Amino acid sequence: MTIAENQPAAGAPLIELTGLNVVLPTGERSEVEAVKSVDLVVHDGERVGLVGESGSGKSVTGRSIAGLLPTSPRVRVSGSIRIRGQEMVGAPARTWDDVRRKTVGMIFQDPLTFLNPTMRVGRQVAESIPDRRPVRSGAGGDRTARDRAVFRFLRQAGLPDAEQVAASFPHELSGGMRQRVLIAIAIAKEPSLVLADEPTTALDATVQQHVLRTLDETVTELGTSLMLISHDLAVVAGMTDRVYVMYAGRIVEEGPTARVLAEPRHEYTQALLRSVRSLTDRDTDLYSIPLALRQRFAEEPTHVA
Amino acid sequence: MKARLIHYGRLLLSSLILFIAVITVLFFLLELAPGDPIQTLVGDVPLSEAFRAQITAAYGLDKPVWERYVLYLGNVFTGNLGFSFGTNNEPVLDLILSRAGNTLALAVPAFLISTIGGIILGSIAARTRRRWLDGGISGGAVALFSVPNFWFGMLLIMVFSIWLGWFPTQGKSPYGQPGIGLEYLVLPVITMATSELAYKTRIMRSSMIESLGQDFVDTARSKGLSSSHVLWRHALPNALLPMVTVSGYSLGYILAGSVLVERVFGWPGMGLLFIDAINRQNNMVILGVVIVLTVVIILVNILTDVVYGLVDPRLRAQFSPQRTLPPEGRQDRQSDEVAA
Repeated sequence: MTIAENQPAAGAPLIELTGLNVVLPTGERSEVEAVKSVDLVVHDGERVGLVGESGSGKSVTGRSIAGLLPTSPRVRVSGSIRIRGQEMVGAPARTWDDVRRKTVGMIFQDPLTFLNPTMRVGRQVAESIPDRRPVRSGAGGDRTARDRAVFRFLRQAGLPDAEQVAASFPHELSGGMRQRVLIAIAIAKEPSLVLADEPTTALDATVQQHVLRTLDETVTELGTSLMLISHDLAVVAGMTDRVYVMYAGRIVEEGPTARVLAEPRHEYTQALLRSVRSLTDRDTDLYSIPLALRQRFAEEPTHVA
Repeated sequence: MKARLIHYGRLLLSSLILFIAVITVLFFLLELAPGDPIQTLVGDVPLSEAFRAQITAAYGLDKPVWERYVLYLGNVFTGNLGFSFGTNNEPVLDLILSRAGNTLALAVPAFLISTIGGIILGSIAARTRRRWLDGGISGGAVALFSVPNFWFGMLLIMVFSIWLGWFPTQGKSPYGQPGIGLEYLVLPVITMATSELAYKTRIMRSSMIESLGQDFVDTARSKGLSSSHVLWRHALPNALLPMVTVSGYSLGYILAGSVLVERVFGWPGMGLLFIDAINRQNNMVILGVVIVLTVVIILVNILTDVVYGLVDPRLRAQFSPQRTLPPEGRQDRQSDEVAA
């Protein structure tokens, strides 16, 4: 790769998906179009939400931005993924490694399974700190500076006992703490984009609030962009400026978060908002989107901006 | 610490029971076996009643079987495995120890080669996207695992010793010379290692495929680590646990298999001693060899248990008190106060 390619193209958005299609294998002979002609933009410093129900394609969209789709030759990606103006569809593995090492930090859903059970937490965070020295070495180098950086990122992720946490194995930590470790791993590379895929779904409600607040504060401190993928409208409402609504692999609506939640224009968004239940609801039945409506949404691609 | 002591205490106790059970079963089986050790000892000549009685008394065989059993069991625990029936009346333990080194000279390299080779080949087969490479390794493993090792040994002798003349066919060193010649070691070690290598490769492959599908591999990839770093540093440690189990068993298989391999290569180890003892109905030596093998396998079992803990920190944690970290709630309240 030349240096010129590495430079951010002037005026290019941080992330730009144009007409992105992703086809995933589901069995020996079957496959599914998980993402269909998706257009999506994230600018520097922006906070973008991506909402939709399970199977809507939001996670696949997120993973394709980090180049973390399953590594099977049967996975087909077409369209365009531009990161700082650089085309990533069909890019070599090294270019993707580079993006993951520096530009995109990903926070995953399940804190139990996304940490390596056989490795101490400190090392897992340290691995994420990009090695900017010319000689790459695993164990050598400036240990203490690296350790200090690990402790700093753990504290920033809301773990004040950083030294003790760093020396622990994942199973010795609680679910909330593990999720904070995942946040520390994502921010340790000081990325341009933090990509959080359902970061609090596996946590109970109170811990969820604390972790979200930490995520909010960290993103603000680092001045990075945030892309928050969630099925939970309440989570997205408080955390993002702009939101995309996905259904059946397509983006059906986008706009400023406040506007989309207050006056949704697409029928699916309206239906999705109706199916949210609040504590103040009394004796109304839980609304679920009727099947006929679902089929119509899936068949007729409509996009409301 | 206490839980760990209890765990190992239990392990030792069950090992001891197993040990006594093995001795007991084998002792009485040999007692029931047909044949006449004394006639075998004397050879194909007529035996007078008086002479027979004299030999029987000399070996203590005139005592009732229960008395001999109790006596033998007591002796085993003091390290006395009895005496060989034979002209020299050598102590069985000395006889075995003089041969054990030769067997270990085959078994240890075979064990190391098959374990390390299995880990490497299995991992490569699991990761490669070149189907011919995976197919070649997996298919070769099935083929080699299915081959009986005595036949494979004879095949190696035919090809490499007789046709090509690269290696000697029999023995451990040139005639009359002590020690072990390296060129004598090659073929028997390969014979012993091959089927174990094939088996371990297959186990490792499936274990590695499973490990590579785990979520934490995605986390490792999301850090921009190279795919070889992800494979060897993240996926491998998590794929090793089944390998530890298999390796523990495999040492037992290798030692048991040495009986056949030593026969094929005329290797003067414990296996050959064992076959010899069976042919001569030298019961004390048969018992002694089995006892020594049992002890080795029990020790390997205990070692396997220790290695589990080294490989997987979660298993270590079962025997040690939980690290005391502040509960999540308290910690969050702390950070809330800072934020407020």
